[in-house]
Amino acid sequence: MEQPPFLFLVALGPVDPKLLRRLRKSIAKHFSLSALILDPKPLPPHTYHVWRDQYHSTQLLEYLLKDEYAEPFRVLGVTAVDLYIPIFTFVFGEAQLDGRAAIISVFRPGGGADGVRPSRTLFFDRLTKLGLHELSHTFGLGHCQEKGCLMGFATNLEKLDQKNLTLCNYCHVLMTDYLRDTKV
Amino acid sequence: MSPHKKISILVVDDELSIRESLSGWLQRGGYQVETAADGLSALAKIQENHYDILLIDVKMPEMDGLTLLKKLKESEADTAMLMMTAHGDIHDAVEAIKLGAYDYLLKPFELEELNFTIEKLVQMQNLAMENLILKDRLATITRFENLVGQSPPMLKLFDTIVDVAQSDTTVLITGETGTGKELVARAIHMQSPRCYAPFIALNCGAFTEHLLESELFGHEKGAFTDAKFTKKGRLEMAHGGTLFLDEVGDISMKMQIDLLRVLETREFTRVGGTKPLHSDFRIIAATNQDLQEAIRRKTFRQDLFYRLNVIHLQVPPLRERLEDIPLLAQHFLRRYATETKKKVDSIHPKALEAMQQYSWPGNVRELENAIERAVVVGKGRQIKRSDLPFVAAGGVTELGELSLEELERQHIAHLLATKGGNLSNVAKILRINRSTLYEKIRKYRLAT
Repeated sequence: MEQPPFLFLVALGPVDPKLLRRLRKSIAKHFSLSALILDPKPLPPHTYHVWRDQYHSTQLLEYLLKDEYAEPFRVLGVTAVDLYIPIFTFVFGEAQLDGRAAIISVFRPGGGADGVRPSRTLFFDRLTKLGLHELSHTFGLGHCQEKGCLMGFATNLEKLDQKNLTLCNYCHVLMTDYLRDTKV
Repeated sequence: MSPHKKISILVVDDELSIRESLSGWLQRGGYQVETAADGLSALAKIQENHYDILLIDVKMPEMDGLTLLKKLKESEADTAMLMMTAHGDIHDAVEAIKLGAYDYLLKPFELEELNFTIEKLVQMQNLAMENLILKDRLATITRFENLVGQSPPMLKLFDTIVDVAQSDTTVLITGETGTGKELVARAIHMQSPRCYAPFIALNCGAFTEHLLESELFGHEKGAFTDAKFTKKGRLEMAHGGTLFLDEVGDISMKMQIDLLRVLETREFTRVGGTKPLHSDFRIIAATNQDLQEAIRRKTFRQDLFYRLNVIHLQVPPLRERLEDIPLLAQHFLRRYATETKKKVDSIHPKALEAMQQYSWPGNVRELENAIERAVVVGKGRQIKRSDLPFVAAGGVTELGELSLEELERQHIAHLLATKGGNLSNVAKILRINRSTLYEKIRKYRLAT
C-alpha cells in the first residue's frame, strides 16, 4: 500500500513546476518521505515590503498554514521572490522550529542577487540543501556546528555550497528519534 | 547540533517584529532566548534570571539602550552586551562601546555579521568559563601536592580522603593551626565527582559578622552603604562544587543559625534581597577549636555541630609525625629553590636532626616558613643548622647541655604555645594545679 503523503510542496507565486518535481524526488531520496505537490498559491500582497522589495518569510509561513492539511504533515513553500525577516537583510528560507511550515526562495541560489547564474546541477543542489535544511528545522533540529553538516548555518552561497546534502551522525540520530516519536 | 552549553540570550527591542524574528533565528541556532520590549522590563527579567548575552536596541521609549547599559555594567559584569542600532544612531552606538558594550550591529543585519558576532561572543564566554575552571583546578592540584607524608597517621588520612571524597557527606576537619586542614579539604574536593566545579574557601575567622554574612550569602546593590554592586556570595559561587568553611568555630551565634538553615534547605537570600536562591554544594568545615568544649560553653550550637560533624577527620600535628619532616623539608626546599632561583639542593643532617627535635607549634606551615627563610638567607648549596630560624632563636638546644630548670622552662613554654594559652589544659598535662603553674610562669617570666 502506498505511504500517505507526509510533506506537501506548494509553489508561492510563479515557480517552474519541473523544479518542484525534482525537489519532491530529491526529498524522497534523502529523507525517505513521501511528498505531494499541491496547486500553486498566489503571493499575498500584505507580505510584500516595498522599500526592501522583498517578501516577509514569517508572514508567508503563516499564510501557508491557513489551509488545512492532514496530520502529521509538513508544508514546504517554494518561491521565486527574495525573502526577509525584519532583523536581517535577507534569508534563504525560514522554518518553524518543531512546527509545520517551512519556506525556501530560489531567488539567491539562482544568482538573483549577484547576477552570477550557477549551473543547473549546482542550482538544484542548493535548492535541495535549503529544502532539506528548513524541513529539518520542523523536525526540531537546530543549527549545527559540525563541519559539513546539512544543518550548518549558511550565511552566503559559498557556505551553502560547502555543506553536504547529509546530516552529521548526531543530527541524524536526533531526526530518526523525532520521526519515530512522531510515527511518520 | 551545537556543542556549546545552552547559552541564554535576552533580546531587548521595542519592535515586536524584531523581537520575534531575532528570537526565532537564535532559537534555531540552539540558544535559549527571551525577549523584553523595553529597558524596564529587561531590568526586571535580569533581576530574576542570568543571561550570558544581551542584545539591546539603542533607541527605545521609557528607558533607552544606553541607560540600560549603564545600569547593567555594574551589576552584570560577566554578561556580554551587544547593541543594535539603525543607521542614524551610530553616534550612540559608539558611545555604547565606550560604556563597555562588546560591539554594535546596524539593523537590518547581514546574516554573516550576526552569526559571526554571536559565535565570537559564545567562544569568549566559553573561554572565560574554561579559564576560571582551569585556574581553580591548577590551584587545587598544586595544593594537593603539598599534602606530603608517609607516616602511618598520614597514610591513614590519605585513605580516608579517598573514601570520603566519593560521597557528598559533610566533613569536619580538626587539627592544630598550620597542620594543613585546607589542603585536606582541597584533596577531598579533587578526588570527588565535584572536582571540575569550583572549590570555594572562606576563612570565617577573618571577617566580622556583618562582612561574613555578605561574603557567604552575597548582597544586592544598595543593601548597605558600601554595597555599590550586586555581589554573589560564596554559597552561589560554590554551585556544583565544594564550599570550605575554615575556622568555623569562630562564627557568631546568629550566623550559626543562618548557616544551619542553609545546610538544611540549600536555600538562601542575598543580603538586601528577597529572591530565594538555591545552590548545590558540598560543605567541608574546619576548626582548630574544641567544638565539644565550645558547645559546653554555649558558644557553638549543638545542632550545627551535628550537621557539620557527619564525618570527622583529624589532621595530626607535625610533632606526631616526625618521620615526615625530611620528606616535607625536601619538598619545600625544591619549591623555594625554584622560586628564588637559588642553587640550594640539600639539607645538612645536623639541620634535619634539629628539625626533628623541635616541637613545631606552628606545624607544617612553620616548617614551610623555616625552609623558605633558610633558602633565602642561607649561603651555599646546603641548608645548615644555623640557617634555621628556631635554632637561631634558641628553640632547639642539645638536651645534654640543659639544666633541669631550663628544661622545665622550655617544656612549659612549649605547652603554652601549642595549647593556645589554655592554662587548665597545660596544668592537667603537667599534672600540677593551676596555682603552681602560675608560680612557674611568673618565675620563668613566660608569656601566656
